[in-house]
Amino acid sequence: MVNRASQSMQKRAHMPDYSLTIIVLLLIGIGMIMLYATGGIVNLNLTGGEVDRNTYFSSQSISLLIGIVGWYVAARFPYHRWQKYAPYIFYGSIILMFLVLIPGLSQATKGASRWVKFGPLNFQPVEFFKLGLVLYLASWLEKNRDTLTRFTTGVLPFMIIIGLASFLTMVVQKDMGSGLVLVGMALCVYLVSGVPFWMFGSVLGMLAAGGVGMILLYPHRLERVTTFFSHTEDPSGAGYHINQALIALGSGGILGRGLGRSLQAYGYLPESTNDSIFALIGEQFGIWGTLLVLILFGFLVYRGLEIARYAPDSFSRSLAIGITGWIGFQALINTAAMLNLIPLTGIPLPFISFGGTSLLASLVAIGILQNISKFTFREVAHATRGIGRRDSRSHLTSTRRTRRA
Amino acid sequence: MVFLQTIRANWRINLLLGFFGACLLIVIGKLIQVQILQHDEFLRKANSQQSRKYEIAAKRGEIYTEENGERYPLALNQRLSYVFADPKFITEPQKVANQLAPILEKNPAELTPSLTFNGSRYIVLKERVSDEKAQQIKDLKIPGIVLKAKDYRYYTEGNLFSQVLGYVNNDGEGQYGLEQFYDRELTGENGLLKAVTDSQGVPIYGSDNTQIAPKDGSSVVLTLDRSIQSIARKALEQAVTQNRAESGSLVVMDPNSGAIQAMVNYPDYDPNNYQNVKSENYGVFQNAAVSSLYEPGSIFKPITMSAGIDSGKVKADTKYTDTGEVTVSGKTIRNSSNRRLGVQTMADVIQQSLNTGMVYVLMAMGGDLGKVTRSGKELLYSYVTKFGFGKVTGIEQAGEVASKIKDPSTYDVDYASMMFGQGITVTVMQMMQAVSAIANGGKLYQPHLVAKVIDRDGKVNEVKPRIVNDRVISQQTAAVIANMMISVVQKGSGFATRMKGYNIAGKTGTASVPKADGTGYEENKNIGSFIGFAPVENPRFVMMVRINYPKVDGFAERTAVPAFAEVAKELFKYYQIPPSS
Repeated sequence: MVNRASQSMQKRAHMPDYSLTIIVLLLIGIGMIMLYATGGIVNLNLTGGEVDRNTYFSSQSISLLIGIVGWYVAARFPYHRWQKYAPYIFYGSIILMFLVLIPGLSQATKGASRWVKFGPLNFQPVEFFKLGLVLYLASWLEKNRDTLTRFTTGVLPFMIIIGLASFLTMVVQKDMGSGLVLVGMALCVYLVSGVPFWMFGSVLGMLAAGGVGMILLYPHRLERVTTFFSHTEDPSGAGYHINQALIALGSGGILGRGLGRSLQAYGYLPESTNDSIFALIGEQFGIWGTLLVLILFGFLVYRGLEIARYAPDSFSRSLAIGITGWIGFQALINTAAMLNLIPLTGIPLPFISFGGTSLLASLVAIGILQNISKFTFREVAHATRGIGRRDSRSHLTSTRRTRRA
Repeated sequence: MVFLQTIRANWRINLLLGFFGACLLIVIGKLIQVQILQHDEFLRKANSQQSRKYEIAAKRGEIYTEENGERYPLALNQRLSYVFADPKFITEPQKVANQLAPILEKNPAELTPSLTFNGSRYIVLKERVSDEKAQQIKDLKIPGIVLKAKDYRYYTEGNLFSQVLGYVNNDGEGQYGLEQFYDRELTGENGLLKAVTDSQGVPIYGSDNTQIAPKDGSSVVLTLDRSIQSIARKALEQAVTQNRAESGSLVVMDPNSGAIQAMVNYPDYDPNNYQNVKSENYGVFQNAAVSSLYEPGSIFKPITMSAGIDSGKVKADTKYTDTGEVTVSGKTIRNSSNRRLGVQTMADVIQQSLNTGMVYVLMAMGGDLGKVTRSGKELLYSYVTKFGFGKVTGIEQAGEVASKIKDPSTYDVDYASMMFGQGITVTVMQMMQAVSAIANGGKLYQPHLVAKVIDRDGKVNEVKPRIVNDRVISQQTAAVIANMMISVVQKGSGFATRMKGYNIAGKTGTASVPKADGTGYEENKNIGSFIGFAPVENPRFVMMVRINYPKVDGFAERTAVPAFAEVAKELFKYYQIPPSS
């Protein structure tokens, strides 16, 4: 009955959530400005003194064009159809993840092997894997929602999915950051799917035990953790990276050094156009810049969760939660690592960091989220807070009433 | 169930909102701490790592000669490039090596290790790269291959002035010769750049940099003459090779000013490629004419004879009887050829180079013809030091060594030996300085190489000849000794340089080489030297030739004199000195 109701709603699509569009465009804009202003500096070393701004900027522009096409297509593509393709996309992305094991295709950097080189094409399979996992989790929860409350059908398969995701990211690709994002994202979806708390608790407990095991098993991860607690100044190690990020942020102060006046980008701050770009925003725009970025991400998460709240069905809700959790955790982990709140892990800041795969995958995800936003109970995008709350209550009570009836 | 899920979802979404909200607040809190509260601390850290102080190299002064009022450069600055690799950015060392090898004229196999990253971020591949080749390298656009401009020293005459000039090493420091001696003046004062730099220390263009301009070095004009230098070098090379000698020196100086006109040693080296000199040959960097001590032997006799004549203790026609040997403190001193010539004058003593006669002079100076006395030794010592021995001459050369003379408290026999140039050590330069005083009538000049100093503003300062001692010996004494030395050339061992119409004064010396362990002298090793000046009535040059360890039989008349004759002949032509008779 509800299914029928939601399907009838799907036919009556309303305006998508345009505030998402604005947030994402702002984040992309900040990223492009940063790449234009500092990409040339970073490139100094490569070209032997001649500033060539275009290498990073133009490469990211091409990625952005492809990403916007992906965004548009995903926003137009009826979200419920993903349910059918989800397993295939997921399996496909698993195969991609294994490509880094093939010596000719793999490109390892700093202990992690995240890149696959395919002729002129360079990409990070983990970004597609994130998309695949979000879709798969949502469809799996939807398919098995009646048997979720049992350990063997609810906890165990979920643990297997998380275990597989952790294995592929942390073991196969030695990429701690993406693993954390995936686990965090899966937990959000699992929590909101409505499983009993004892199940959620046992999953958390098992993950904590697994996490400790991973750290003890892999020394380069252990090094990051010990660095976090000991603060070494070794210029080649992870401690150096953190120190340089803090110097960039701290020297930026309130107003920042000004656009294009970064000094840390001149070889001091590692990964300055990529994982460390948040620190460069702080250096050049001060706390106003970093606050703006954080608030935009905060707002994006808020909108994502609201879309999930009013999602037309449980599949789309899981999907919306997954996408929101993904972007939210990735932004959180990236910025917290730059601020030395958590051990350093290399992941890009969504929409801002240089990197085409990350941009494309996140834009497709946002597109899916926007497609869902067209079928919410209320037009979330246009609802003021007051009206939205009132309307939501009425919807909930009405559905409750319907069920009682 | 579904609706239960929906209700649960609703508040669990609130839980997530709360979670992300709390995380956001923590991040913002830390952001305030880092960017606002700790701003000063981090700004200080940033400044200390981002700004560095740099020296801006001043332009090194150049070295010239002057001929007919026209300056000719000997040492120039040449702006070329050097290539270095930052292997961190080189992904295919083998490929890059193959690309660079033909341009750098190197073997790809020897380049590859320098291009492979092993932690080092700065490896110099080649120095002195021409503009044309630099452009070729630039056109390849290889990441991690960097060109930097740098001033290199270029020596226009290659080997010809090698030891006199020295060279400039890759750190810009003058090494050996004039480059080292005048290093401070030539270098100037480096400027200072307090710059904001990248992590490799390269100043960032357009950043807030403070700069103190460098003060360029002074240039110098030398007294050396290219033509005489090349005549001298040719004659010396011939003498060393023909006599199968180990090495040699030849110096030409103006006795009326101390200005050096030519100063060569053989073998020499190319200062443009000084790094090609093998470590076992590093001695070739030294200017032996000022740094190599040796026992002069008989060429020292005019000096000691001057002491006897000038002190009035002997005269040119003072007679003594040569018995072929003389005993001093129980030790017998003989003439080199074991001849006994009977009654001889002092003029004969020089002409025949008689050791016994020289001992006679020392005894006469002491007032007791039977033995060497303390007063005689002291008188000799005062003359020898007045001639400049025992000190460096002060010529503008790095590594000049002072001669060693024994003071009057040493044994009589040592002093007797000193009369004929044994048991003391001198350099060619010191002999030149002393004999110049005989040539010019008694004035001791400081030998010098620098005629003019041009400061960075172009102001020319002439270097005036410096008289060390106005009267070492009287003019009459000088004339008497000069006459004795003429007879050496006319009738004695210097006959090989006899030239029709020219009065040449000279003295040969075939010095024994003391054994390293101090037990007497080497059997088959000698150093042949000849010192002389001409024309005697108005001397234009003093010249000395020294040939070390010739492997042919014979004395200096065969090894050193022919080279002197060769150069003297050319000098008469070059100076257009007409024959006097």
